[in-house]
Amino acid sequence: MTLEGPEDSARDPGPLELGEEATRALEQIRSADILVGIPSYNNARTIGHVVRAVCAGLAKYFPGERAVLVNSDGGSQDGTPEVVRQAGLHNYDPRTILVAHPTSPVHTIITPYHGVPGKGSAFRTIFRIAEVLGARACAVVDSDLRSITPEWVELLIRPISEYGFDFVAPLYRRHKYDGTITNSIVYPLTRALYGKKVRQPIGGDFGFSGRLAAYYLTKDVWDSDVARYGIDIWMTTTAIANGFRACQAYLGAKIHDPRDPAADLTGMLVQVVGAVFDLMETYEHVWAQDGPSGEVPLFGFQYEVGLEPVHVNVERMMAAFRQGLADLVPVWEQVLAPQTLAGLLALKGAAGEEFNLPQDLWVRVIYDFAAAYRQRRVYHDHLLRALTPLYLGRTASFVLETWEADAAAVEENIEALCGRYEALRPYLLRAWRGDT
Amino acid sequence: MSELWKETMLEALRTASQKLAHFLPNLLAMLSLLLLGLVAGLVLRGIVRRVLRGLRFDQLCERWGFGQSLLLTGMRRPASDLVGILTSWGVFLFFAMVALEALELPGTKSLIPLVIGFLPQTLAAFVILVAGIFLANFLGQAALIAAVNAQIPTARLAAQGVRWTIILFTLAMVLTQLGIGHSLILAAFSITFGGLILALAIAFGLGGRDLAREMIERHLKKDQPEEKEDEFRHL
Repeated sequence: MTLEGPEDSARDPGPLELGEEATRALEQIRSADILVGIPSYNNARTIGHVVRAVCAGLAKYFPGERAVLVNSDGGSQDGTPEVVRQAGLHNYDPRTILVAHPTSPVHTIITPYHGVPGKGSAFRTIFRIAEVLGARACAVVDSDLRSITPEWVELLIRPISEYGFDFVAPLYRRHKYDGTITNSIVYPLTRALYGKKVRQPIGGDFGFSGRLAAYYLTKDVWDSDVARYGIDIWMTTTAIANGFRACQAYLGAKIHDPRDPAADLTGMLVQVVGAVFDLMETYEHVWAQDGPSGEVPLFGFQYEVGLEPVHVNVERMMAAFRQGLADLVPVWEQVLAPQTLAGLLALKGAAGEEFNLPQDLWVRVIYDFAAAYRQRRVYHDHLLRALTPLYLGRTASFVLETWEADAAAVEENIEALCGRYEALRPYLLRAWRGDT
Repeated sequence: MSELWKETMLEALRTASQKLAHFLPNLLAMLSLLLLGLVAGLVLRGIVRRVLRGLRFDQLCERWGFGQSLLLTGMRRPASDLVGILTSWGVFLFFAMVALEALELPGTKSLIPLVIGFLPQTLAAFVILVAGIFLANFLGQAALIAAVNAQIPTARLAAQGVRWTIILFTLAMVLTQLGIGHSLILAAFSITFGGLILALAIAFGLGGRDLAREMIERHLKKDQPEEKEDEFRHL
């Protein structure tokens, strides 16, 4: 295990101060074996189901363990904490999990988090409570999940409590067009850099050991994008780049509470890709060494799920890309290598089904952006925002490539993209070091 | 007659040679001072650059965001280079002023006190100019990217509007700071800027009338769906 590196010399942020209610609850509970955290912000509609599923999972699969459920809330105005309190009081209906054995009650801690508003700050509070209680195995799940079942708790916790893993990433069955940032950037790039085939590195539902939670707390990253959408990729990368034992757990379908999925696409892209590029700088000493990517152990029984069809507006994505070509070339010129830019400009007249932003070109775009980010060629926020039309262009291309394809064929397409990311690593290294 | 002419010519030549004899050392002194200023400036530039690099000034600037700010002003040099160049120019200008005084030309005697007296306003105007250009480029680029991501067809026009508005503001402030045509600039700027806003308001009002009506209609008739949104999640 490699626990020493340049990032380890970063300033220890010191222990996080917890709120009064949380401190009182911790004094009562004193210690725990298992902890499940749920970050929330105005999720009153869905969080009750998540809390009940978690409580049922803990009762069914870990009846003899001292378990704690932590709701880390960002100041919800819709009564989310009250829903958690009510759901926590009733815990679960024994008929739903068919258990006859006596079970320990699940303690519930509801606490507001402090710091930058976002999921990462909520997780920090959960890590801190896990550290104070000395929990051996922990998990975090999203509060807007509609498809969570009690089995998720076992799948995320058991690999840690019984098999000695430190980090459990989720593996879902998703619609072929869901998670396009994951499929086109985060998964292939993380795999090419760190050599681990973690299929959902920003899945959002994770299991982790108590010692990994304590390790996360030593990092001074809580004022950056890590405190927001960047937390998921940061947790995954920190675990695998520092040699913690990682595995995956098959959780089935992932269905969220419906809301406008296009809401602030650029904001998501900036935070996630910014976090990935920041991590590339932090762990340069890890990924700069060449090597093929390897499989990660998988827990859980895999099965197919039915997924509802989704509407995709390809024409609008292509229009966004074309507008980028018309207006953003002065910014892209500072970021992209001349041959990459020439490749994009060649797509100027392409429309309809002829449109194709090929995988090789896309990988070069991402590698050029990573190098420009590192070399501070353009102000970071502007650089990341200028990626949006290119991302939409690639997504449109992906949709056109896989319009008739089934899940297996889509996975093959993503696998081929991963292959391009790995094959073009020498290009990345040259661009990263400014040798182009 | 010829004696008188000869005497006059000799006198003129004598006076000219006396003046030249008096002026030549001053000219030489001026040239020497200019050369000295040039050399001192270059030497100091090298020293400042080395010292700053030794102190990892460029990395500090990157960390504080100044490096990226410089990029936005169009500067492609590292911050240590820039400070070095500014230092060398400062030194050279100082020597140039001393050199001009060395010529003892009428009007140059009070040059140094005059320049020193004017220095605070000049420095303030310079800082305003640099900050203004930085801000104009920064916000212009931000507006361009935001407008493109929002798929606004006139993204470039909007970005140029933001950029030139800030540049106009900056120039007005710089000239005011230097005390040049204070009231004239104020009036000109008020008329130009006021006119610009009025023109934009009229243009938006007339050009956007239909768009505004459509938006209100869409808002009021929510049961009529517009172009269907994407339904997949990007994350």
